Amino acid sequence: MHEMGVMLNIVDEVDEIARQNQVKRVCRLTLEIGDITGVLPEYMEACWPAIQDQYELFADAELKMVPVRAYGTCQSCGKNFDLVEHDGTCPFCKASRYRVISGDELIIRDIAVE
Amino acid sequence: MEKDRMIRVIEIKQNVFAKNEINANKIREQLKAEKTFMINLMASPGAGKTSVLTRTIALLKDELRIGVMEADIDATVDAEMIAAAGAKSIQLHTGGMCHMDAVMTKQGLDEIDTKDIDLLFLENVGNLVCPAEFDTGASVNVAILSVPEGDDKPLKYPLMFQVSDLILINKIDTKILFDFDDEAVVERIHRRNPNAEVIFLSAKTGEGFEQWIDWLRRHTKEWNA
Repeated sequence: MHEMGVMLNIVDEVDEIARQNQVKRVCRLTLEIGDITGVLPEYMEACWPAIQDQYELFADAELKMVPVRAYGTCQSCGKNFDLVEHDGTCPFCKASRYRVISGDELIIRDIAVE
Repeated sequence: MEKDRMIRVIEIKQNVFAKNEINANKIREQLKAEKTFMINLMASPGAGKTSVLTRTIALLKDELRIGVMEADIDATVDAEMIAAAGAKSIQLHTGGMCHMDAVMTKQGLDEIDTKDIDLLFLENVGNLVCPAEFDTGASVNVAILSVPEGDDKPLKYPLMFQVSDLILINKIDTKILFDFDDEAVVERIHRRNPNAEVIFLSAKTGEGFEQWIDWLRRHTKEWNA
């Protein structure tokens, strides 16, 4: 629902880095999107044409999104499990309290530039 | 891409959400230094954020210097009501965004000037989903759930109840019209957040407000010590 806001934050960050590196055009922006960030890749993709339109830096850029699986450590039995696959419930002991190890991050991985 | 163009990759590896966390922590440091206790108030549209605030201001304005930052997508209705109740208020327009984040909150703080405010409320955008995901730098998070919305909301919107330190169950004066199970809602909230406090009240009649005002006095004093 707030993908546009998140995208604008990302674009501002990358804009700053591009400036520091004297980059005029980006060919590809790669993001890592955790499975439980609540950010939907499809909606990020939907925002992209508007970004390309508004920022010359991204006019010809490709948006690449890499998903990151969400894993948690069960706070009862200590085993790790896929949070999305098991809906937050430990498949080993059935407890539903866990610590997130991965999947809650949204990372600007890199930009490919000319 | 054409083969004869030189492409290089610049690694960035920056966590977008972590940046918000850093900004939020800076805000908390500033609030502590300036002795301003800030509450991030979240709820669905119509649950009673503004009504709870107007009654709260009426009851506390002679004891504490209160400020309110109203966050809405549009209109100045809320800020006007708060100003009429007797608190310093500013209206923030989020530009279509469905929540407030640390950077936006900082802009509000700069505008309202926290130096002469003891207790500051950020009335977040009416929404049970998005605001929970963004740390605004507040000292505490308070969520309002109203009786007409139903006692199953803590199950359906877990994150909101997970990140809130206190939940106010508002509109208890309407209980007679709805099937609302007090015990069930507390149990469900504690499933998500065992440490959350719950206070039942009515902004319309004032019932239950003593406990809430007491909570505010205690926490403001503690923060501003």
